[in-house]
Formats: sequence, structure tokens, C-alpha cells
Amino acid sequence: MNESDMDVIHSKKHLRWSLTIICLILGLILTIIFALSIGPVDIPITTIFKILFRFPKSWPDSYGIIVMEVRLPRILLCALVGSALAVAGCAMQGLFKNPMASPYILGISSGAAFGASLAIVLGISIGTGVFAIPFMAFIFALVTIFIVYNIARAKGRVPMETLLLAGIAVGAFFTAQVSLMKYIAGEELRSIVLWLMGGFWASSWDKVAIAFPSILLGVGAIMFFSRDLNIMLTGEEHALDLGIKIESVKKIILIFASLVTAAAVAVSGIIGFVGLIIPHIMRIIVGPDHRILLPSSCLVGAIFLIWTDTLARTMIQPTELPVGIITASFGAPFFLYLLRKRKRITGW
Amino acid sequence: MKLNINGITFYFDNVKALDDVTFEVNGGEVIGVIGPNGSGKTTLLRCINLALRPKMGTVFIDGENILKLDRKDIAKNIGVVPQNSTIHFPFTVFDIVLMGRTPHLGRLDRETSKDIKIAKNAMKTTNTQHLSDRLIDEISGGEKQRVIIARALTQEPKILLLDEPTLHLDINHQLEVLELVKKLARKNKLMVVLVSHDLNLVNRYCDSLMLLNSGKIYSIGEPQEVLTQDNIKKVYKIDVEVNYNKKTKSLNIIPIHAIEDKL
Repeated sequence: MNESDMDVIHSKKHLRWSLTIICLILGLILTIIFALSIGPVDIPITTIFKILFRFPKSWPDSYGIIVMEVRLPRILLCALVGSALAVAGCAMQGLFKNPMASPYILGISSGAAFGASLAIVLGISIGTGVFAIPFMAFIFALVTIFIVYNIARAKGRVPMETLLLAGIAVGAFFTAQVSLMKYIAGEELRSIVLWLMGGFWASSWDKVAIAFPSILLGVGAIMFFSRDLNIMLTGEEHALDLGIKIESVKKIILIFASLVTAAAVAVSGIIGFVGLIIPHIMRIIVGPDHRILLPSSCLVGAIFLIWTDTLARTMIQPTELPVGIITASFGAPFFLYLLRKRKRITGW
Repeated sequence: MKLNINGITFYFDNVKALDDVTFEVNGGEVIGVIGPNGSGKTTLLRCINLALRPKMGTVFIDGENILKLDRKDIAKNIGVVPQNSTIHFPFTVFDIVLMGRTPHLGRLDRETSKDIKIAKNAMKTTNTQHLSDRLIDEISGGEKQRVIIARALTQEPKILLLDEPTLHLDINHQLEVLELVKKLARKNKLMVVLVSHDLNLVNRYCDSLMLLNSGKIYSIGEPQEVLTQDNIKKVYKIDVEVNYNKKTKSLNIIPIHAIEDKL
């Protein structure tokens, strides 16, 4: 191979990355528009545009309320949560160099579930009204990661194996407390179970406002460390030799991955599968480089969760299914198909 | 150009692993570090680039105290080829080599054509250009070793640290890698510190040797001064025959038998 070839290949790679991102952004926009029109009341796409862009009013009052107050916040919340889980999962898998890693691997979900069940069963919360459950879930998620991190820390270093085991143990502890809450829940049992399954049925602009800042900040921060994550995949020793401050990078990524996970869980409950599988699917498609892997996982996570939630709310009208059931039921076969086609999961 | 290792002392918990190790390396010079298992060879390498922080002593690069440099600046000065280079992720060889530019790039910078040129030159030097598009987890051990050397060169370091670069390589590739290292030292005026277990190869390719025993320098100097029957007997606990080979202009160490410890 001669020299100019490598230049060409390198610039082609960046062009391909840019095209991928542009296509996925378009895909996300189309997804949002289609999802807005689909539901118990089908609203024509032209009307959706008119409502969104505040054309002179030519549609029934109810359409405006359905689109702006019911569907749009729900869809945006799906997009936020999908992005958050996919990016956090991707970061955790990269950090732990472990294909089984998910955003919940350090017990964050169990901690959040305990916080939520405290609010649901015992009515203990520092927030009120619509904020009661999300606030408790969010705070307990962060408390969990704080405990896990400090247990695992020794002499200013955080060995990943210790972190993993500490996460599993602390998670198990909180899972037991959630079981206790369920046991004494009485009439509230159904509320806890539904929260644990995860879903977007109680979406509102308030929840979008709660989740948005943390997720935007966290996702942005994680992407800022894409190159460091790449190099850490080749081994911590290599990363150190290439000038990466591995301990502080690990800490920063853990903090922000936990922050976005906590925000996602707080507003939607525990939605499985997205954070585990979307990064794997994208690794198969775009490769292991986090500079493209993270943004594309982010966008595909959003698209995927919007579509699965659209199915969840329309499949068995007039009622709806928990979205977690749909994410795994449709996502798992698709993932298995990719797995078979490629014969091996890229990178593990 | 000069690398001064000055009184390095290192403890693992309470166990002393390095004891007052002092030596210097000049530009273009290859120094080989030998010694039995657990004598502190790898620890010494890791202390030189502050991957491990010595309890006492420091390292001067051209008179500059390394303790005053941050990790990025250290990586601009010191390239490392570690012992274990198992990379399970399907990065292309070119991606891996280009990672050597990391210490020179800001977090959001893209690699410029200058960076690509440096990476390409490193690949030319190490004869890995043809592997450019191959995946790092699908090439042979010898190829991978050369790729990691290419990556270290892409850092444009003044100092190259190699930890058993010939481990797991066949005889052909062992010679190839060491010849490359020596050539690089001469051509780029690199200061090279190389850890190895292979006494025959190391004395052939290194300008000087350092024999470590329990974290202390037992002997340092020209290969003939260091690799004596006596020294090897005391440090490695084996009887050896040392011959001079006219063809390779180096010493041949032939192990005779191990000396059993009298209890």
C-alpha cells in the first residue's frame, strides 16, 4: 500500500462517519414525526407538521393537545432515555472491557428501585407530586454509585474487578430491600411492579425537564472522552504509556455514565436491554472506535426506544404494554440475527 | 541526549522491589536489563516512565526531572512496548499505530495529515505498512510486536522502553525485532532500555548490560564484564559456559546445570 492510499482511507473513514451521523439524525427526525402521528387517534403527518410549526389553526382542539401535551413529551422522553442508556451501556462495556456490562451493572438500577419503592410504599420522598418518585429514584441511584465506588477504592486506585463485585453486592442488597418493600406493599404492589418494568405511561414535560440537563451533560462528557476509551480498550497499561490519566478518566466516565443512567431510570423505571444490546449492535455495524460508536449508539438508542414505545402503546389498544417487554421481544431476535450473520460479536 | 536514572527505590507494599538503582543511557545507546524472575526488571521499566511512582529517586531526561512532567509530556518523551500486548478489539493496525499520536493531540483534535505521515513513517521503519488494513487481533505475534513498536515510534519519543520484546516470538522474529531496535537507536538517536531473559540475544544487541539481583544492580557495564561465569552463577544459581562467538561477535552462554540450594 502506498502512502497516499492511507491518507485517502483515513479521510474516507471520516466521511463515512459524518454520513452515518447525518443519516441517523434524519432517521431520528423521521421517527419522531411518524411516532407523533401513530396512536389510538391517527393524526395525518401533514397535520403534525402544521401543529409543530404553529400554522394557522385548521385541526380539532384535541389533536393539538394529543400531539403537544401527550405524545411529544413522551417521545422526547423515550429519545432521552434511549440515548442515555445506550451511551451509558457503551461506556460501561468499554470501561470494563466486558460484553456483559450494562448501565445497571454497578447496582444503580437496584438503588433507584429502592428509592422509588420507598416513595411508592412508605410515601417517603424529598420531592412532592410528580417529582416524588423520580427524585427518590435519582438520589438513591447516585447514593448507590457513591457507595460502590468508595468501597472499591483503595490507595487512590479503583480496580475494575473490585468495582464490579462491589456493584453486584450492593445491587443485591438493594434488590433485597425492594423485595421487602414489595412484600409489605399491599395495594401499592402493582405500582411498584409497573415501575420496575419500566415505561413511559406517565410522561410529561416535567419529566423531560428533569431528565434533559443530566442526560445532555453526561452524554456530552462521555463523548468528550471517546479517544481515551478507545485506548483503554487496548489495555490500561498501554493507555498509561500513551499519556492517559487512567484513574481520573475511569472516575469521570463512571460518574457521568452513572449520572445519565440515574436520570433515565428516575423518569422511566428500569428498562432493560437497550443499554446492553444497542452498543453491541452498533459495534457490529460501525466498529469499535468510540468516536463513532458513542454518537451512533446514542442516536440508535433514541430511535429504537421511540419505536418500541410506539408499539407498546398501540399493540393492544385501548391499553398498553410495558415497553421493557417490547424492547427485549423485538430487540433480542434482531440481535441474534446479527450475531449469527457475523459469526462473532465484534471485539469480545 | 541523556537519560539519568537516579537512585530509584520502589516498594510493593512493604517489600522492597528496587533498591537505589542508578544508571544512565546516552542517545543511540541500547542498554539491556537482565536478571532472574522477580529481580525487578519490569518494575524498573515501569518506574522509568512513572507508571509506578518510585518511593525515592527520580529520572532526568536531558536534565529535566520527570516528576515535574505530566502524563502527556512523559508520553511525548517515552515510548513503551509492554510485555503483554493482547488487544481483543478489532481496531485496524493503522488505527492502533495512529493512537501513538495521542499525547500530541488535544481531546477533540482530529489527526492531521502530519500525524498520518508520522504514523506511516513508523510503519515503514518497522515494515508493517502492508498490515495497515488488517485487524490487530488477527495478525501474528511477531507482526503485532512490530506494530506496537511502530505505535511507540509514532509517539516520537526520545526514549524507548521494551519489556521482553522477543517473548513468544520465533528465532527469526527475535532477531528481526532486536535488529530493528538497534537500528532505530542508532538512526533516531533513541535511548533504549530493553528487558530480556535471553542472555544470548541481549548481549549481542545491547551496548551495555545491567544485571539486577533482588532489586539491586549486581553488575553493570560491557556485556563481557557483566556476563561472567561467576556473576551468572551467583545471580541465576546455574553453572554456565561462556564462549565468544566470532561470527556474531558476541558471547554464547550455555547453561550446564542448576545449582541446588543446600538447605
